[in-house]
Amino acid sequence: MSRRVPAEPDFGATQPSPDSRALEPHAGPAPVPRLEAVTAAGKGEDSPRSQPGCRDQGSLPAAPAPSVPAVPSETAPLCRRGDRRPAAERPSLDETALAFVDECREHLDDVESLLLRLEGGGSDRRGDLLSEGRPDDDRADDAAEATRRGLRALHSVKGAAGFLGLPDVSAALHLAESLMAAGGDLPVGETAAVLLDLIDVVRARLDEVVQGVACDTGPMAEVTARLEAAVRRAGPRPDRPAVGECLAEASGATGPHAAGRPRRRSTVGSDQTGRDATATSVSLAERGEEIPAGESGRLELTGLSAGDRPPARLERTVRVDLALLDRLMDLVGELVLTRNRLLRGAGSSRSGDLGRFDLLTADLQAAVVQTRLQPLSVAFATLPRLARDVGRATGKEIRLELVGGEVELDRAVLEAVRDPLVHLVRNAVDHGIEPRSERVAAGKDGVGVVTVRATQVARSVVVEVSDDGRGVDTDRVRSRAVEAGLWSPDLAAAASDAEVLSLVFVPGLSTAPVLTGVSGRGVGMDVVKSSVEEIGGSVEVRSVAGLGTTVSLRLPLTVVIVSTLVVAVGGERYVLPLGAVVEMVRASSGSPTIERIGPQAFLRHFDQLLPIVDLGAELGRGAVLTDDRDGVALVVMSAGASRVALAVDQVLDAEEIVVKPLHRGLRTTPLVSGATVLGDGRVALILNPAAVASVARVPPSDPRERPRRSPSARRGPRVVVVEARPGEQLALPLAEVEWLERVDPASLEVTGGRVLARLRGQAVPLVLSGGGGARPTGGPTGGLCDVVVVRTPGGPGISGVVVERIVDVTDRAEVVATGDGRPVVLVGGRVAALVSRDALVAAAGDDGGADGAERVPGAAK
Amino acid sequence: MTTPIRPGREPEAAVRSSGPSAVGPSTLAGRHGQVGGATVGGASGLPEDSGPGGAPGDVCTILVGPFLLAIDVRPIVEVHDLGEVTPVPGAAPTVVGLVNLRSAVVPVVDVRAWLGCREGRPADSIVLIVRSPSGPVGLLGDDIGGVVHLERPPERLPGALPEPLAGEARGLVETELGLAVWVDPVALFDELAR
Repeated sequence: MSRRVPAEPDFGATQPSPDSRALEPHAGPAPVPRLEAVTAAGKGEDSPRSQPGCRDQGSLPAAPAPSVPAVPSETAPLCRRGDRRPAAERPSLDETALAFVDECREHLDDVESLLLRLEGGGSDRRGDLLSEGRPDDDRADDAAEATRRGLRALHSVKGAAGFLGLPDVSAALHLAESLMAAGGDLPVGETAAVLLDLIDVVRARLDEVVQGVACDTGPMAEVTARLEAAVRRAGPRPDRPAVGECLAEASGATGPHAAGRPRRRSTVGSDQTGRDATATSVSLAERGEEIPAGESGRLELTGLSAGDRPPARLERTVRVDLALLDRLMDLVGELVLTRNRLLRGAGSSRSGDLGRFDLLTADLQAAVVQTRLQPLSVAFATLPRLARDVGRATGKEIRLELVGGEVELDRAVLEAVRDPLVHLVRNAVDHGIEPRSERVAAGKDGVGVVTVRATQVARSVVVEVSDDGRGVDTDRVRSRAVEAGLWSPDLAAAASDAEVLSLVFVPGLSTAPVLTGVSGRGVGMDVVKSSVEEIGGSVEVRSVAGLGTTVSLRLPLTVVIVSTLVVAVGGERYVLPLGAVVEMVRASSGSPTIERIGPQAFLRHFDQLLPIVDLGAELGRGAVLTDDRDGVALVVMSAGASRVALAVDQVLDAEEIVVKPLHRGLRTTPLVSGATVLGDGRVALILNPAAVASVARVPPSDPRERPRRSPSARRGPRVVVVEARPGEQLALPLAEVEWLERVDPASLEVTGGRVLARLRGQAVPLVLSGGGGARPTGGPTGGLCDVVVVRTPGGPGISGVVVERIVDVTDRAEVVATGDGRPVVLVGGRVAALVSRDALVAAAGDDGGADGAERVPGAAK
Repeated sequence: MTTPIRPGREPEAAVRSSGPSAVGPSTLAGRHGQVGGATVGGASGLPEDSGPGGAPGDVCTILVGPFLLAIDVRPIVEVHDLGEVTPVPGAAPTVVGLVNLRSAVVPVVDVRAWLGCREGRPADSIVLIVRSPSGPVGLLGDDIGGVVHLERPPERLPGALPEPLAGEARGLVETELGLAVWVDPVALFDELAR
């Protein structure tokens, strides 16, 4: 319902506001005046309570059941202060109660994660829970702290359940506390199993409360009985903390009635998920207080004096409604567009107020985008339990490794990736990992490992779900494709493994038990693909028979404001996500760079043949790729493993856009993923690179005609090869190049002894490389100068290095060491010295480039 | 240019409904819906789906070719010029395209084309912007007839409305411009966008 965003430090630096008091009646051992304020808030309104609860429990009880401890009469009013609407007009579950439910869910997540960790710790006795079977004192302390955290969380849920009018839940959680805290000889697996089942039942009950549906008390009664039996069998152990002690500590840490308090503000330190279990313990330590245990492990509010009041805490987070965040994002998006429009109108003059407005808008945009980011650990949270349950159900031992949970994504992306992750982990455990006997026979460890790893790569996040299972039997997939009539036998035989693996996304093709190793991946894999592609991501599968399978999801960081390339096709403008654009090429239709096999055109791109998608034809705007056309603009795009070239009329500009979803009822081609409003106010459609690539994926009917990539090509560093002066080649790492440009010398301007080029809305100083090499008639480029744009060494801006000719951009260069220690690369049989950006600029400068306006007579005139 | 329509305001062209009308489907053919001809087939009760809640209220009438449509004013946001339209590839033929309404991307459907009146569209066609559960949508018509306050719910449909109108008509409303066919704008949009 809401997420936490870091607040400015001064938000909570002073006393809580009266409103926050009304919402936080039990924040710490509160002083009497504060309680009075709370009482006033709770009782001062007409019909102050609208307790949610179960209809079959005497719905909406006026007060918590007597059996529920620590919920005094002045506990949180369920209706907000100032809400004067008659009870009948209020929502059945008001904001405060929903906050309780949110808190409960988070606490349950915490406990679940703790239990899974303890369960997976290798110990088999309940007595080892606190030490995880290791003599190491530090580890034992950690485990003890973890258990205490679990107890605090359970205690909080228990109190909240009382507040929500769920006495049976409170009672069961009380037993759970006892079971968790008591020493004893119960096996840890048994303890964890019953507690995990309890968590499931409580979650279901909370869902029922939120939905306002009648609840089924049967499962709770059943799990309560199991808990009672477990507590009886566990019994106390003298060498472990007693229940009362643990609960006292838990109570003290969270305040005597923390269980009845929604965590309106929580402290987020290193724990980015906002779980406050650690935060509360920190606050206890900070206070340095010893809270005496109450008789039954809880504290009575009346026993506290004003002296117990904690010092005002710095609250670092606030809860913000997601709708408000979305609205904020929309507004910032519009502001960005307005800014872009203003800047376009102002040309290159960005000084004064306009410059400040530009910077402020960029900062504001970054800050608002930040508020929407959530760590992937939020999506990871359900995976350990899932892996455990599926593993148990299939009789496999699984170790789930989660890496990169701290990587942050826009919440919309996170939501979109949740279900795909669940699908992938379930499939990996269910179908990827072999049974233990099979693994052992294959010489593998009996425990299967499923790894979910997230890494940020430039402006996208890659999440990989891999297993060390049996991998995909591509031969079986081939035969299945032939059986299903998808491929002819010839085509199946000629298809590469990557093409075969792409079939796992075809719905209904790969159904268990037909495909070994990947069986079942077809169930949901198409959903995984469509979910990821819907938000502009892509999916790729890699597999090695016998070693395992990796499904890789490439996701955008955010889906709201994205950088795009605007292209014109048939008089309309379309935008392509810039992240998917590899490069742009201009080619003549009759040139040798475009080849045709039947009706399909290919772009010869270095040593690859890329299928060309004629966007004009695909979008019904008239074919772009016609024989009578002099030149055609091609945009090379990547989508997962595949690359295609899109033929467009014109490449217009790079532009940041705000993504607007298309109306759900609107039928359109799958190539379109959304819309946006461009700077001039006109609507433009956003194209989905993966869908565009899929247009070109269809293999030609005769596999012998299919273009083949050079299998032997070894990838080296990606370099830009330039001819700095006639006959002398230099290679510059591509990572050091901002972009490549071809400029008309006539458009250059000379001022203050510098040659400036207007590139992409910026005035870029040019450095002329090579003695006299930069001529306005520039030889092979037909009168244009080739410019390599790089960051200015030691400066914040960019510079353009004019070269004789840009020869190639390649990752097929072979680096060769030379006797003088200065490396060279071999490209196409020729040698190019490998230089850094600084060396390139310096070399050009030595040639007198920066002030060599006279070398560009065309510009100087 | 935008003409806001405020739900609940005084009707501009209040016309009292006066019971079963003497009108037949063929008389809808007049641009301004001149009444005359046969009696509406025995309309005495109220159609159950005769608009939100079946209660009388304000309706807006739109002229589309020879037809007059009536739409509950409550979901209407505003009336807009068509302006620049971005075509949507692969869309239904009745989809005009997307327009920018204060940075919202609004799909517009062509009611005129749906009714088979492909010729003679006025240069100053209007787009009625209507709220839908999935965001605002636009219905392209010729002109706004007016806003009519109904003192009784729409009348039952005669049995022989021409297709495709019959499928979307919810009832008939009598206005000073003639009989108007009551339609649910969101359902109409969904039908045309599908």
